[in-house]
Amino acid sequence: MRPAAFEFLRPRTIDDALAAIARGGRPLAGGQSLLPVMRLRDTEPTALVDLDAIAQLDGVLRCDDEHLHIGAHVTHRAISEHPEVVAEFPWLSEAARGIGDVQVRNLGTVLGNLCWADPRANMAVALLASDASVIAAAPNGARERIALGEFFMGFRRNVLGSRLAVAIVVPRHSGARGSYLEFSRQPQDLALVNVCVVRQGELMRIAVGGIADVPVRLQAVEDAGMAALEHTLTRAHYAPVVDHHGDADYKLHLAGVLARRALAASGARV
Amino acid sequence: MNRFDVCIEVNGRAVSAQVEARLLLVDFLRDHAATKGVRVGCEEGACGACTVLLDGRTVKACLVLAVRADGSKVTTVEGLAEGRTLSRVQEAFISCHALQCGYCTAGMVISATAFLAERGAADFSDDDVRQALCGNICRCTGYNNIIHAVKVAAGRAQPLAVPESEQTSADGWIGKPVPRREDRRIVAGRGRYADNVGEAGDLHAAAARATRAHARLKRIDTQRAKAMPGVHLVITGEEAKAHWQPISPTMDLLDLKLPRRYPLATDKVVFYGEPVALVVADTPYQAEDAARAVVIEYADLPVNVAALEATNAVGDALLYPDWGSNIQVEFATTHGDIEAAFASADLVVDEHIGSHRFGAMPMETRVAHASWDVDDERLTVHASTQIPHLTRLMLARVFGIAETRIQVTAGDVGGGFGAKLSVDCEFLPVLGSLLTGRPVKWFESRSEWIHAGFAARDYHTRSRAAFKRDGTLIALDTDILADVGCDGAERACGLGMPINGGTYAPGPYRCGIYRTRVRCVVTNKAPYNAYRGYGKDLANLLIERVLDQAADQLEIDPLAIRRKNLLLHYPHQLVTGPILENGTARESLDRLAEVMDLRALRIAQATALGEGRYLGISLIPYIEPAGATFPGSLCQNYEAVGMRITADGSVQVLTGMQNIGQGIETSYAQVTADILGAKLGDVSISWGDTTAVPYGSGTYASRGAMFAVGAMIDAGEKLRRRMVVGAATLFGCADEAIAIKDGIISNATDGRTMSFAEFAYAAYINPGAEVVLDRADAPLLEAQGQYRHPQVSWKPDDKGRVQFYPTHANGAEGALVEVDPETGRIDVKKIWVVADHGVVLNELIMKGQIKGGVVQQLGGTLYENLAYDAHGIPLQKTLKEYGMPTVWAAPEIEIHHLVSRSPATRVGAKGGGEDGCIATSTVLMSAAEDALRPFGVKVMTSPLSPSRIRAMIEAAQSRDLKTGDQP
Repeated sequence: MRPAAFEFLRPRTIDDALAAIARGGRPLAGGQSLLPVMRLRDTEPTALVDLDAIAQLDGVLRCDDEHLHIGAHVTHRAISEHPEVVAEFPWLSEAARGIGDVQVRNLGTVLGNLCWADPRANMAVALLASDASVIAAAPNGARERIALGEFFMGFRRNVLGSRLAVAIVVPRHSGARGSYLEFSRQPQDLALVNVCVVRQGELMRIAVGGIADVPVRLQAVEDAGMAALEHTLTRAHYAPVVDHHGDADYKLHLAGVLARRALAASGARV
Repeated sequence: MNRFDVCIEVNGRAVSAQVEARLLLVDFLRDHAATKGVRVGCEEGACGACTVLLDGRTVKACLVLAVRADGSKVTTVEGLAEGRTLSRVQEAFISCHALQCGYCTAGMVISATAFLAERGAADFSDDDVRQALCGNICRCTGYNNIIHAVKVAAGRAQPLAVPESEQTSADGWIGKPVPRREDRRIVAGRGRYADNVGEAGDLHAAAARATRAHARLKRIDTQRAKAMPGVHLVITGEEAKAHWQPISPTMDLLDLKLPRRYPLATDKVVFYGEPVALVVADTPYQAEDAARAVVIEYADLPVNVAALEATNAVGDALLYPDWGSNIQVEFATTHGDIEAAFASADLVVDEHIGSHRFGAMPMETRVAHASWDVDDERLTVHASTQIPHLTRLMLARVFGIAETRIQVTAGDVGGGFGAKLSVDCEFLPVLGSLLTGRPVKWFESRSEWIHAGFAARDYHTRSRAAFKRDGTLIALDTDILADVGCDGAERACGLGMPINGGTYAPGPYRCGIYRTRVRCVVTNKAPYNAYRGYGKDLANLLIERVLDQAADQLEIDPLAIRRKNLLLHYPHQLVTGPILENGTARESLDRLAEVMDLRALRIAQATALGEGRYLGISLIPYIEPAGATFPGSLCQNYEAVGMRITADGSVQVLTGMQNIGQGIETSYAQVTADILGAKLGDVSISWGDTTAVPYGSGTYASRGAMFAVGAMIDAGEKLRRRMVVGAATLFGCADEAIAIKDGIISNATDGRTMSFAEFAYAAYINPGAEVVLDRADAPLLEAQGQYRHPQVSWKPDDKGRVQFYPTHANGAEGALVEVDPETGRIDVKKIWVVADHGVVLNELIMKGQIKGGVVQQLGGTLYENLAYDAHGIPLQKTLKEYGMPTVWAAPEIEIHHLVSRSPATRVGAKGGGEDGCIATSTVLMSAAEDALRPFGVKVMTSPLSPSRIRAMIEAAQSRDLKTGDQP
């Protein structure tokens, strides 16, 4: 099938984009997640807001002293191959490489993947473990910084509302090590469960996708260590995404297996 | 709605159009830029058939809005060749037989090209190739040859075959790995698929479909749809009844019941996605808009989703109340004293064995283009089908139009695998054309196929086997319940699958006492169609899984218990009737153990276990009945070809067999060249047009190598006799002195020769047939050949048994797998096949068919699933959700051949190509079970999804905890 008709808006400034969003327009980044559901007519937006022509948005990936900046147009392809990311944030490039296929990575953007807010989205999980934030432009002209822990609202829902996400910032920590692992039916397929572990010395962040309607941090395990894993990953705490590829217990079990493996891969003693 | 001026440079040419914002780049390329090599295989960007280079990067053109590509440069597959010189990747795809149906090839070639361009001279691994190609799904090849072709294009491997022009006919062409003639047009993006048929201005059909699985139709409101832009026709099932008859069945035998449904539902709907109303509009976008605007009100009926429960349904839960039950057919037979045999057994194995629901899923969905000529009252239909002539027949029966006024054509078909052996939705564009007087195209979307297309397998069985202590199989008792969805005999033809399973379950083993009961129950699911393997897969599961259990319980080696029971000599008649005429049941199994190096594998397995890794090994024999013939069905014991030597000496063969990617243009030419003694290059094969070729029953059941070849031999021998007589007349020598080989006719007495061209001109023109063919049986070098397989018998013997399948190829398949017990994932390391199809027509093609079948059934067993919720709503909509195997799923596949010539034709070929779809489920279950032996896990039902394998391990562990055993 083909998409239902929609109004196509091509703002040239962020302000114009915000105005279009305020009128109900849906931002269109790489379109690699949105267009399929529009083709299936599961979603019929009345208007799409094309972000391509906005000169204030960029596809720049750069590191300063404190942060990795990921511009709105940065693709999965770009982040998976960027030498500084590969060297310093290998779990981010690993997560990006695990997305779909070359064609999708060539067009799909990191920011778009975040805003899609699927609880199993690779970049969402990897960036959550990286303590990243989204920079959003608000209608009042302000730039707001939203920590990823507060960014996801539910299954494929984010908190942006009338705001437009314009960039991602990821703090740099010297000596950080991390690992991204996912379990999918076939390699490169949508993950059933994915885990990213990032360690800085004794500090550890573990993000897990697929076990709730948003990607989650395993706070209890981060605080108390892997010993807490067993009683943390239970149905009392988490309600995994429902599909026909395994029940809740299986996915929580997988999350535990991946967490242990990711931790080991990040150089920690498990 | 706003429109946009778009200009895109396509293969160096600027193409401009004013487009709607929603126009997809793929439609722009196909409809505005005429680059029809770009194909559509899905909606969600999974298949990659539409892959193009957009400003140098690969993208899926179906996930890009044309308006966003304004000002860009696009390279499609048509832009890769330099003039007539193909690119290295395109050449390598041909020389490595890296395509079969070719539907995915355009996208695959683009992805491979981009990968090699980016790599430059850098080294790469097979996994690098997989990473680069995993966004392109191929249903036919099993990917092995595609990976190889990428290496060949990079100059890092040798081609699998040299070009036809560089091969010689020293010992004849049959068997030679001649690269396919079909491939050149396909790799260049000029494959002639059904969606390429038609002109700008043709109308487009879409169906409004049921969103309930079982419900009465209370009211259908088409007013809003009719008023929408571009809409020419909206018609409901009730309104359409005046224009057609119920769907013509594919089979009607064994007291089976027929639903007698119309192509559009009338009183009620019986499956989710059943067409309820037809919409015809100017564009496919408008047709889809209007189809969604048709309002359907339902009164819900009880939904049947579970096979066993459906067998007991009554009242409103009956799909077809006049049947009195939901059983479409029941078949039972007993041979020998089954009760006594089981009573005397030392061991009885009793297992519930099952395959879940999955299906053919060709990369090209169904497509039909219909054109009713109001002046001449002639109907032309171009369809993606395996059966052009039978399609013509069904159109004639449903619309009451004489067959002689209907022309059905079919070009390249993007995969069939049994699922294009029926006609149901194809009636819709025909109705549209009849009522609008305009050409109408219908292109099924992938989600429509997944929801309402065809399913297969879905067997729920019990298999009991009685053994002596030494492993001797005494008796087998199988009970098969097949969930055939809403129908397996009218809209589709899957009903024979479970019956085959029951008939062939004794397999290649000596088993004189056997009972089977087969019940096909209808449920509120999509129709049940033929799928490669056609129940031979079920037969294999039923016997082989119980043999493994018996081996386990009797502590006999699994290979030894099979050797003990395998048939001793040929011909071997199964107790159910089929006669295995000859073959290599034992040799193939022994050879398999040899090529696998079983001893070394077992050592590796033990070593791995010491390291906490779980390897599993299996070796499974199989038989492959081929060339199905069933009374009362489209599967018949006949085929015809036309053969002519034209006045210029070239040879044309006209066949009713349909090219669906199995390479008949090449292999049939090889056969014909050998039969006639013609030059291979002079032979061409024509197919796919009911007005041009003789009546043919079509492509199914691996029958071409027997039926089409048999008819070619018949025609070829007639022509050869005329050539001998004619040449002897021209040379003035005895007939016996004439030899014909490689396009040269020679006279042994004086060494004089003439070419086919010289002879044919003499026979046709100068001096002409009156002289040259004076002594021949006919004055023209044209003959029709027909074939009836002598090993078919529909006359019941004294035990009521018949021979529906004339030949039986056989073989053995083995696997090495590793199971991760923590996650439940099965990693298939390697598959081996030793196959005996008699004489193979083209080794390259045959091996390709086997590899493709293995990966199809591997995908079905591990990943694919057509599951439903309790309301009969399908749980999958997309290829990804369905679980199509990508290049990552394909293990290395090693193939060896044995040869037992078929006695039925001079060529000695049996059918082939279904191998992998027959044994692979069994092989994977058996190997997974072997890997998990330390846990005591039994693997009897698919899917072998990680979650199910993990659940089996957990169940075994909790059982062990209860009994105190430790794995």
